[in-house]
Amino acid sequence: MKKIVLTAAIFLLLTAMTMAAGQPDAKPAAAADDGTPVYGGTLSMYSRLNAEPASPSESSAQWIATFGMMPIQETLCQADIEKYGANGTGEYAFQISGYIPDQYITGRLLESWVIGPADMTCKVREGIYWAPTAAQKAWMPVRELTADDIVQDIARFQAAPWGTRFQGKMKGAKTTGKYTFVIEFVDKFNLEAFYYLGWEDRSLIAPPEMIKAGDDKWENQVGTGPFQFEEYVSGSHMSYVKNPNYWNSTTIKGKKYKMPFIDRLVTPIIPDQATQVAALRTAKIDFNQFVPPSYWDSLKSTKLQSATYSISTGFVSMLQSEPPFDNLAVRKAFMVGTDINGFKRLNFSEALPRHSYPIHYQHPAYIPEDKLPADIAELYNYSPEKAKQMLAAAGYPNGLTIDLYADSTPTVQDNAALLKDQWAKFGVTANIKVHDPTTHSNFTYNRNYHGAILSAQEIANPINSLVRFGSTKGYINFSGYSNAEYDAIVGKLATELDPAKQLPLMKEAQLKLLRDVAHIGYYPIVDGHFWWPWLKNYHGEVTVTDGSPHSLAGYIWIDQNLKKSMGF
Amino acid sequence: MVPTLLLLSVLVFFTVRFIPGDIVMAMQAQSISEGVVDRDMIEKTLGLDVPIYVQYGRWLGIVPWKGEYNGLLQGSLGASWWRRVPVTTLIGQSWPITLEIGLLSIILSMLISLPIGVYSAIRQDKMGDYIARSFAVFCIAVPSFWVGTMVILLPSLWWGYMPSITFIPFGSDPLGNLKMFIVPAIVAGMALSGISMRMTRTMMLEVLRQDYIRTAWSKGLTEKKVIIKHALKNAFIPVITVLGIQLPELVGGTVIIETLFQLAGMGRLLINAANNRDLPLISGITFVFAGALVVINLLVDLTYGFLDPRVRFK
Repeated sequence: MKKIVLTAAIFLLLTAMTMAAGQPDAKPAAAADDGTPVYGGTLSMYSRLNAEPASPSESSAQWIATFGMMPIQETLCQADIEKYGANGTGEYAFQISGYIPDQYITGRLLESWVIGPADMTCKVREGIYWAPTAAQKAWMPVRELTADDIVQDIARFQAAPWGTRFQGKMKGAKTTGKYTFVIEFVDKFNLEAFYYLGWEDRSLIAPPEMIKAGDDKWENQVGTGPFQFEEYVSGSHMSYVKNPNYWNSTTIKGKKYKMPFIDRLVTPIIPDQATQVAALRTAKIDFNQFVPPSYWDSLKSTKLQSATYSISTGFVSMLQSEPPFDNLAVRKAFMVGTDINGFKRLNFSEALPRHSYPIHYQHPAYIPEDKLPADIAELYNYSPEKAKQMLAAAGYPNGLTIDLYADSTPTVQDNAALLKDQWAKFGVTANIKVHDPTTHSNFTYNRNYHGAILSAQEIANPINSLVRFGSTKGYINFSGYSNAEYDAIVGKLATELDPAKQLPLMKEAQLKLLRDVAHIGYYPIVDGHFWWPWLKNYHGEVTVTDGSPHSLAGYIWIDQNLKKSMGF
Repeated sequence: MVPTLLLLSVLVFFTVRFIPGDIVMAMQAQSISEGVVDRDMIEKTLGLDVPIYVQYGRWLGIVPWKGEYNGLLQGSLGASWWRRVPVTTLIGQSWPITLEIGLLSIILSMLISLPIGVYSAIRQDKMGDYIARSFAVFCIAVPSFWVGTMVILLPSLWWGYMPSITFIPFGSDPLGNLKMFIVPAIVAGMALSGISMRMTRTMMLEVLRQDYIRTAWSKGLTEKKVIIKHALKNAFIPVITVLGIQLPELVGGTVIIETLFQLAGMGRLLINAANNRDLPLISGITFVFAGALVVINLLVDLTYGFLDPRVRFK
């Protein structure tokens, strides 16, 4: 019997030793080099892939799938980090996703463009080649990118389920030469359409041969980008290898270098947050774009570098097509009865301004709280007593009962509980209705809820957020707010090219939305991304396109000596 | 068997369609597109533009779609609406992982629980017994998702260690594959270890009190021979029963373990399918799970015959 117990104990010990065998080598390596870029290595980059990416086909309408295509395919435009980023003038940090100020946009596949009254004439950059893998060469020749390729892809985009975004804005595109094409707009040049077409995540350009071969297969993805598709292991990762004939280069300390530097890029699929953070801590991944604030303190003891930023806001939508929220006085009472500072404390965003909606606080059009007109500023002063009086004056002296819709994620649950508690103080009973994210999104996008509903959205692009939040058909106008005057303002804004004229329109729209309490922006959401210091030529940028950091992978090189010296 | 499977197919197909929301909503939630996603286009592409009984007929393989029969009767479970890949392909990629976790969990939990259960019975009411019983209760009481999270977080904090996050196939690196699976298997099998340990101890105590065991002792046999040759085999029969009952829970409980430890098994596939309202995939996985459990129970029944001559089949 003792032998059996001893055998079991030895087995467990061997198991533990096997487990421990994966520990990093503690021997220090050679010292770090002098900063000259080095080619080679594998970069492991985690961003948003917490579930299986769907079919990459445009017809599947899946945004998250574009993260998997971003290393391979390219957009027409991108952020000009070469000129204005850390290696250039350094005047813009590029730490906001979903928005690139007009002056910082440059062509990527496009060499140049000219905006006309109702069209945009584009010149394609010459000397860019499609980069099929050995297997893909069976149906895809190594040939130059042409205007025709782009025009066909725009048509594909328009025909996809999310092509509805161009309705009423853009007619289409037509080729005018081997390297030139024209995009035609319905009425005038439209800034929103330009964003969707120019650098939004779904605006990746693919060749017609790929569509014919089957664009719903990951192994068929071909592009002009810095990487080629290697493999997709379901539930594990996607990986890419260097495109040896990539056309682009980057300038570091005055010297030009061909891109990409790394040999291989891996994007793991990690569903669990704790696992994501553990993978970052143990350098199983080099970069994690969305580390929850609750983990930041625990990462301070490591040598990870980080950048924190806010591009989103949480907001309460109140259905305005029925009582009680069809009454502006009621909406104002709810705003006064909501303690935004409480939510900032709960969500680690105390350092950010409490007035965080509908325009990003770093945008020139943002009006700080202390500069808001008095009638709007007073809505931010939390007072349950005043809220009670306002509610009584609005016709609810005994308070009221409403439904509050929240999805099942822990953060939203906490926020809903706090809202319920705050609103109870001025006589409102909130029945929290919890649904899984998919069912919840049905309520938001179709506005078939009753009462109030919680959501969060990016607000970095002021034109998009003002249009989406407040225009009658705005798709994140979950309140159903409808105001002809507001629609006119944002309609004008969407076609105004002069930044000097855009600013007053943005401010006017912002004030209108706040005065009418279309939604309650109840806390700015803070995000943080972390990376190991051996990632070089990377300065905390979020993206050069819309949301995916994978567009930055071509710029990054790995200091292997530094990595070894740190014990990894 | 056939009527059972037919009834199963009806239950599986129709009940999942009671889940609130549909795939178009899931796509809409993810697509973040301007305006509403073109629902009609998506429904037509996915074959949702026909009545539900027609959809069932297509799924079963008795109603053609696009000119061909391609359903359960033809060996097809349809295609994933989300990933546009045959369900059988996705299950084919995932079931070996779940099977490996399940098998390793059973083996490891038996290796842990049997010796400890036997020792605990032999040394009844001694310190070793108390420790073993406390350990068994701990294994049952502590949720595997908590243990799994601690196993991921704490080694990463203390030792800078974490299992591989990218899948290592057994064929390319058997040792690496086992290293990847051993910790999740132990965590997954914890509750089963505790239950088996307690059951083994109880049955051993009962068997050790039998007359034939007293006879064996009185004949001067060694403790090892008495325990292993005479007592253990009889004590093990109810443990097999418990194993058979616990196996469905073990297989179903791999969802959390697979999510935490980066293993793309059937459990994780099912959760993703449910979140995305990918009904063909949900139906396919459920159908396969149900079928697998029928087979497992059959194997458990056959094992009785091996252990107990009295129930051997003629």
